Amino acid sequence: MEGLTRRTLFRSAAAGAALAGIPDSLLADSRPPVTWKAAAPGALPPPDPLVHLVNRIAFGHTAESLDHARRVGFENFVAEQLYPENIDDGDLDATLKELFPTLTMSNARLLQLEKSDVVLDLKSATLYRAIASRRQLYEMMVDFWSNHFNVYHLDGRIGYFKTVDDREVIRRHALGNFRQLLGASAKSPAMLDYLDNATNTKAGPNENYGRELMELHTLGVDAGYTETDVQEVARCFTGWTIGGRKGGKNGEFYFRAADHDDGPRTVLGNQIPAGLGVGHGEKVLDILAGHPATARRIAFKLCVRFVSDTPPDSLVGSVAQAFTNTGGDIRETMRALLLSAQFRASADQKFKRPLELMASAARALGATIGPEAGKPLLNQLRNLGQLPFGWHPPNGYPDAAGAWANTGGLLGGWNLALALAGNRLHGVSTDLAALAAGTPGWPTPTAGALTDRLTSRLLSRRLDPADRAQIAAYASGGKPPQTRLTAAQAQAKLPGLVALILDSPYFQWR
Amino acid sequence: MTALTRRSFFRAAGLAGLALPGWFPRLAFSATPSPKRDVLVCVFLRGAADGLNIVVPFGDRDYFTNRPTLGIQEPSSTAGSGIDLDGFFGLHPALAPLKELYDDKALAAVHAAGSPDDTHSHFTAMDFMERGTPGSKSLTTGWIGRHLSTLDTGNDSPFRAVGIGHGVQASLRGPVPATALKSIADFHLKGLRSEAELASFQSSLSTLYPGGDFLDGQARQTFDAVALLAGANPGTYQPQNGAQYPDSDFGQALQQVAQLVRADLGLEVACVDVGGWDTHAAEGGATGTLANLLADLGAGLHAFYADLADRMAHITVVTMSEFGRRVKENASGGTDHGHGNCMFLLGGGVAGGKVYGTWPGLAAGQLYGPGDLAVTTDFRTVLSEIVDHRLGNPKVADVFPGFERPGYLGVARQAV
Repeated sequence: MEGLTRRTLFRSAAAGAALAGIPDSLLADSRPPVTWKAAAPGALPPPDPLVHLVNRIAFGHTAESLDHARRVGFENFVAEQLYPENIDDGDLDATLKELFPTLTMSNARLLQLEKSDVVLDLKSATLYRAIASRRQLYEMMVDFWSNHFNVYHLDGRIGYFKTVDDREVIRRHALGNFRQLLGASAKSPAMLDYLDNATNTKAGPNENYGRELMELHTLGVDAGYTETDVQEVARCFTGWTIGGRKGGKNGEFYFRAADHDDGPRTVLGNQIPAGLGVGHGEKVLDILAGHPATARRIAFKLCVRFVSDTPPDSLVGSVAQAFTNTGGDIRETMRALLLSAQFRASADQKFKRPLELMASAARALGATIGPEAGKPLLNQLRNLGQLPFGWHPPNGYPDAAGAWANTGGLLGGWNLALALAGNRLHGVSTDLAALAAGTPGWPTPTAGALTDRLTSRLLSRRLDPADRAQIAAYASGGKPPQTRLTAAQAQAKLPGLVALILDSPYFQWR
Repeated sequence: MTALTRRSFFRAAGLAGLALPGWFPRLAFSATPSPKRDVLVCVFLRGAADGLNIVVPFGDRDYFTNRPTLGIQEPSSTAGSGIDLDGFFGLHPALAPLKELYDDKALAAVHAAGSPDDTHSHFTAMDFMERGTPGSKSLTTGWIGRHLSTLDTGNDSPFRAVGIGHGVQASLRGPVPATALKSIADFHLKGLRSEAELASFQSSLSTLYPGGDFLDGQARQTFDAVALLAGANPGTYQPQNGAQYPDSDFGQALQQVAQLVRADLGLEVACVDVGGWDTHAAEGGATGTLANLLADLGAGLHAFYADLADRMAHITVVTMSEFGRRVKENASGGTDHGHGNCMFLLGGGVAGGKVYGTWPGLAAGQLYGPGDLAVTTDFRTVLSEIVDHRLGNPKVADVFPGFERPGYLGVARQAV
């Protein structure tokens, strides 16, 4: 009877969510949200503001990062994270340099190597950085722009070119100026290859880049541009290609004047004179980067990434204003966002995507990631559907809970935590006993004390008493929380107990 | 009632029910699907598949004028030429496996089909098509979701609606929950030392998702689906009749669907996605990028048809793509975004062996927008015919609100 009532109520709740409506902007993914209502505020006891901050602008907290944030305070932590160049990450950089020598190479050099090696290096490095970097907001921004300017690792020569794109486009400008980022992307061989501008010539223009440039990289689909604008923009970019047999440096941006339509153009009502050569494309980028619809769209996407699947209009407006006022300064745009009241009030509004789930679990566990951990972790991410640079359409991985919070996604995430807690992934090791060792009474703690210690370390937030009781009941095998465990019992329960905490609703949000 | 009290309420209910297992599957679904209703398999070719090179209008001479390098040759004994269907249309040679299904009268095509909306954005077009409301985003539900919610089949199975892959397709959005599933074999908890430990773990885990909000609902759907699958003991699947699914995502996806059909778990609709159709460059003709995609599509559908031969009387497969591609090829050896496209229907209830639709022609004055195939059959005409004739749902006006059906194509026979 309870079951029936519960089920019936759940069903009507689901129906209500469907009717409550989802903003159209969130539905424009090729894998759009299913019936979805963001976490009901108050469904879980909220984390304290610093825990919210550290989890939201990072790939999860580590014990170290949380201690640091508590020491310096909310605003100072934000300020520090906005200047990654001032955060020492030397140990990670040295490790990456040693493990992944291709990260610093030129396209011409990379083209001489085995593509699979180049690809594996960059994917692995992306994962290592998410887990281990102290420049966490920066890595989140890199992830954001990698999706905004999505390219697909398996298309054409992108497996080679993405390494330079990652380094010289995304990482160089992730907290820099949007117009410079956009310009670097437009000339990046990875993008030129992916959206086919490399073969866009006046003989028969290819519209792919021009269309996605406006729809996805800048204005947004509802900004009012026309099919004629798409064709005009495509013509402005004719001749923007990759150097090789027909001229230019191998694997570098090359403007081939012979393929460029140098006539006068009209783009979004702006007259662009004839004879500008490569300047035609530059002019288009100026128009698009400075357009109010672009400010609004970038602001909206940043708010979706860092605040909520359905961010308040007022916040999007003020973030767009910051973007416009600073000429597209990404750092200042982010400062406005992170210091807003709406950001502070947004705990538990963002469901973790697989990369975030994996990295945050590894970080919370204090796992040791060995040099051979790349492949096993990437296999897990493939199974969960979020391999780095593995999204084929140009819109990037979806950033809304509805796209990820489903049966297969939950089950996969639960199994990931079981694999991590069970030390079943080659190259990744977690010292569960060390994690538990601070428990009062260890190595023979009570079930309740062990639960409190582990939830404190892994979640850093208060639990609903009923949830705490359920977790403790698991630890004790159904006995009361004050039940004292033997050392053998405590050891034997640890993997399941740690996984149970990581698999709880508390850990699914960032 | 606030969320907090709702959660507390569910918790209280959960605690009061401690004598019961913490979770239990719903078993009230109809194990045997009603013979009057088909299982629907909806295949979405994402990226705008080039319908003009899939079902080739070789009888229209303007086709060859516009496709000097990409065009598929008129059917002949030459390798790589099209496969004649009706003297005007031919299949791409990589779709050779489908000819047998066409000759069996189980496969039909509808050409110059598509959306009345003229967007050339992949994402907008997919969105409109999956909502089933081209030009309007006012409804948040998908067309299949509305079909499910307006047809009470008494089926409460978590496998009533399944999205194969990492997410649930937008067409399934609606009040009836859908299960996302990538692999049946992997659809269980794993990682502890024994089944008993896993059962205890799962029982505890389910108490942490008591059922008060969306995530809890998804979690319960997961527990139900896991339990039901375990009970069905799907084991290793042996396709029948010598069917060989391609070792591709698409082939494996169709095999999962076949397995769910055979397990009689209450499956009514399954959505399958195939990506990679956005062939702006190096599309290829008889061989190349598109040909490889089609070889996979053709082999997959053929295997599915062979494997489920004895069930095919009550299965309908439909393929769609958000729009077609530009008639004239570009200088990259590819085609840009277009408009009209072709759809396939496959199943025992399909009046197959025929290409349906009105051909609008490819001459300059006959093209639509920037040089695209015009749409003469609204995709909803095709889908609504499936909804009422094959899925037994008369509420077509609720599934496709605002759509005035011009009449029946006759491509989907009334189920008896």
